Amino acid sequence: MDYNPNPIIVNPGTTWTRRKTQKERHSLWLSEEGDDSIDADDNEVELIDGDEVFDLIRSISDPEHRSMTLEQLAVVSAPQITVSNQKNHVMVEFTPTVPHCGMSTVIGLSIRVRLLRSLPNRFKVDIKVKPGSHTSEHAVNKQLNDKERVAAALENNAITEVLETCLESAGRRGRPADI
Amino acid sequence: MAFSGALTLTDLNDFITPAQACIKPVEQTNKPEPGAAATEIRIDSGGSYYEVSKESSTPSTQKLQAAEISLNDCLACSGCITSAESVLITLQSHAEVLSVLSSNPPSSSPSYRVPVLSISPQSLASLSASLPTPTPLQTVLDRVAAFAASLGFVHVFDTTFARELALREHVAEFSERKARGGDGDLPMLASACPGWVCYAEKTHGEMLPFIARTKSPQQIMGTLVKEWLGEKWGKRPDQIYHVTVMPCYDKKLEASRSDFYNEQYSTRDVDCVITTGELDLLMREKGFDLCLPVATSSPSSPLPYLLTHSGSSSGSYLSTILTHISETSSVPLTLTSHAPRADLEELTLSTPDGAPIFRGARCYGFRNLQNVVRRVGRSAGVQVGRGAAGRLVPRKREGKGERYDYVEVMACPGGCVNGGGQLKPPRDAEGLTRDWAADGVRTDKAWTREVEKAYWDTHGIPTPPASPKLGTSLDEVAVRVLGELCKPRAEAVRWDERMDDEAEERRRRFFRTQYRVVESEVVGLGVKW
Amino acid sequence: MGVDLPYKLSAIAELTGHEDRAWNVAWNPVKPLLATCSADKTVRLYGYSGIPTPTFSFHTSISTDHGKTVRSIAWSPSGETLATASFDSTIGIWQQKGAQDEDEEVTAGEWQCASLLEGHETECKSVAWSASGTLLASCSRDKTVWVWEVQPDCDFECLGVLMEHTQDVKSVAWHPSEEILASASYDDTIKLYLDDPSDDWFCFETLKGHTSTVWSLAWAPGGRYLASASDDCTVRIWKRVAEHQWECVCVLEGHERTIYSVSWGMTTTKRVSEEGGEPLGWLASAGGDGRINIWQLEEAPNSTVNSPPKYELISCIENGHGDSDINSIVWCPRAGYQDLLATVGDDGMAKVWKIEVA
Repeated sequence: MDYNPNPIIVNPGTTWTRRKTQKERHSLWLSEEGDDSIDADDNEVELIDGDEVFDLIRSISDPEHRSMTLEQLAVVSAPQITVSNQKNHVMVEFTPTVPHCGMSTVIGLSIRVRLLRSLPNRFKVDIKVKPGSHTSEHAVNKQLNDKERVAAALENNAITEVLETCLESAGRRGRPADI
Repeated sequence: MAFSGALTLTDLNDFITPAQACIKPVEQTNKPEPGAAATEIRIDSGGSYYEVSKESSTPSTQKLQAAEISLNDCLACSGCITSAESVLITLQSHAEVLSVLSSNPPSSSPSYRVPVLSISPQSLASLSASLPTPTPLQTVLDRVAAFAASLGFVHVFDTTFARELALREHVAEFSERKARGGDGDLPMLASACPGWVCYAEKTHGEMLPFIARTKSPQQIMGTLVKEWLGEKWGKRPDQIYHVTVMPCYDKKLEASRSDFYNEQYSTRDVDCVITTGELDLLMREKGFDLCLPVATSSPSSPLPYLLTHSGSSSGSYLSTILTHISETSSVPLTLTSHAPRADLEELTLSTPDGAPIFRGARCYGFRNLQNVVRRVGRSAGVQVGRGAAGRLVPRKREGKGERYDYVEVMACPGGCVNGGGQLKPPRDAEGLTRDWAADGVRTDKAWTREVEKAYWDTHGIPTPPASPKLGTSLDEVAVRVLGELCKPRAEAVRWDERMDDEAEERRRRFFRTQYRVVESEVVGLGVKW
Repeated sequence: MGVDLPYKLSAIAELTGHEDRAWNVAWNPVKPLLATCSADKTVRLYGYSGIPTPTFSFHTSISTDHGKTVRSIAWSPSGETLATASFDSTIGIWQQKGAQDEDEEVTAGEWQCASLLEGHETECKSVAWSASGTLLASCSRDKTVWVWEVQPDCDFECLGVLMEHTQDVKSVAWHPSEEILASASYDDTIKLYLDDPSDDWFCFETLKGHTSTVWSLAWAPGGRYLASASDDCTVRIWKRVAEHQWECVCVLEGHERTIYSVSWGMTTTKRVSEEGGEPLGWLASAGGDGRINIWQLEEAPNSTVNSPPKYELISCIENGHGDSDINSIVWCPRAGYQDLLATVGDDGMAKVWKIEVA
């Protein structure tokens, strides 16, 4: 059974909000070219905004429709991201493609892992489905924000395999696949 | 999904319950192209899913199929411990029985299947206990038979003769294992409980060599009906529709095992298993009152019926082996018993000078089962489970005197009389008002005691005594079954003697089975975390 | 921030070495040993000496061979045995080679796994010894709580499998003197269990009130109160109002993110006020906001069966582990060191704090 065999696809935005000045950094986790992290300088706190967070997650692939990104499926969008540099807090809201989407926890987990690997440590991240967009909204939110459940999931090879596939494309940051 | 009336999950404390939700992976077969027609999924008030096309000028709505999970999926998956109680069971339900019976062509038709019903003694006890006045199992069996006949069943049996054969084969297997005495031979663990077998296959593969290969009474009943009786009736296995009534949902899983599938005739030894509760539901749906007497014609059964096997209401496996050892011992043996906890009883046979020669245990319920697994693993020197034990200090194996020789393992606390498929107290809302204690745990225990009483009281035996000698005529029938099914070259056949190789091969096929470790085949998308 | 609070916390040791998030910290109740465990699958032991302010030094590291994160650790009351709960779904029982010459000395023998407890289906989250040291409890995401009995020769027998929670069980804690077990769960409830000598372990009470996951439990040293910490950012105090009945008597607020850990200690430090009732000790809490709160509790004067205790925030520190979450906070139970607190965090570090009059 498909959760959503025929999702609605939106045109990805043409503006790349990616910042130009970033130092190279090789993450243990990702082997894509270019940077993927927003790195604080040694003593200066670098401010980030919602667009930058969106850049980090827009090109994550959908676990069910691997050829499409979360942005293309309108699962994530810049307006659904709130950043407070003062409180060191990032809130990402995402919209599952269908209200009974069984992949919601995997999508949320891929967003969390992406931000875990890329955002400066000072940020606490909350991830939620858009209110009213999922039949098990409370359960999905609770699971995604339970760090122990997340930590255990990341030690489960079956799950990390799926996540790595979804995250392979994350470094494109909105660029088409052929660049 | 609706569970049959007998079951509510809250009743399952300490039963082997599913560890997590079903993880049967749902795989996408055809990935839609980007730009494919947009559709929406809608859910109606009844919980059905509809796919709504939004692109065409006339929106069309198509009801989507719910994913169905078959019992075989459960058997092949290690996602749950035993899944029967939590999974859609549509292939083996009382509705399925009615549907097969109603579509059965007339008996003159070549595709007619002879409907046969076999009911377990624990189910009879549960039904008996649910009646307002004490009713002997024989009477309950007669009434069930009358009801079954009204549905179209041609033969109705109880499964105690099959159990008799299972016990004989069990004793034979124990003797073989004892004689071999190698690693993995002893202790021998009972094999009649499919919940336990499933659990071992899924989480304790190291226990499998110890589990008796002897088929359960249900499956031996399957062999008896489809092979032995079928031949007498001049019917092929696929010309018989065999339904059993069992105290336990996991018996459905057992009947579905590939080992009990007849490739040649594409049929199973037991076609359908319903629980006691489902039979009760069926009777009530058909307006049959089990309280009322029926006209008994007392037909001559081709099988001995309602045999007592003293010892336990879960098949008396340990007791039968104890009796066998005592009877074949050259010196008189003393039996001592020790019951450290509820549902755990250790029985030891000792020689006159006090040396123990046999240690057995009756061990019911998930908790005690854990300790059996630990203890057997330790005494046999096998690594238990699958955890990280690299730094575990090796420990010396227990001496032979300390280890169990046989354990009657059952997954349900209280054993089979308290199976998950049995009737719950009280029988129904409108009928009987029994004054069960208010708190849940005690209610279940008190009820289980009632069923236990019904199981034994029929025979006027307050507590099970030592096993009596089996009757001669019974012995004759049992031996005849063995001889006719296994076709040994020698004239004389005995259950406790080896036959020629070809006959032994047939014996393995008809009376023994096998187990295999079930590996998890979890697909990433389906993993619960 | 609590500038005017009467007590201050000073970090007296920062213990590094874990290569990943540290989940739990445990003081040996007898010997000068502090244990920490981590997602790096190791347990690290630190020794300490010196009064009133001890110095800490690395003692040894146990590569547990657990296949996954070591989530929780617990010392037996004798201080001889350490239990580890791992995401690999097993419980490890650890003893030191040739450890019989104790006398509060820390010997150099190697720690080895004396027993491995299996049965849980998924990640083990917590493990705890009963006050007598004869029982061990464990819990898991598989929704079950198991009670094990310690047998001779480091063998364990399962006495009960309690399937009462409807979700992940996060923590188990034994009453300080009676054989009463408490468990906290993702289902937002706390359950209390007793043994029925003629039957099985059973749940006799379910405590409801928290509005999200209950992460941690701490019995008051006297056993009359139980504290619980939750994802709803509160600590609740439950009071024994009858033999087998507890009621929520107060809710402590003061955290902005999930509270992962709570510990109830009996400090010997002088109390702030003398006019209060019977002292109930100090409660420490910490969690995702990095803040450490210390509350002083005392029985209210003229207290009744269900009257709440008096409580007062006496110390608070922000960013106890920098930007990191604090995953565990524990008072030292040993005489002479009861003003010490240990914490571990997502930074993999263990810190020891001393509480003093500001």
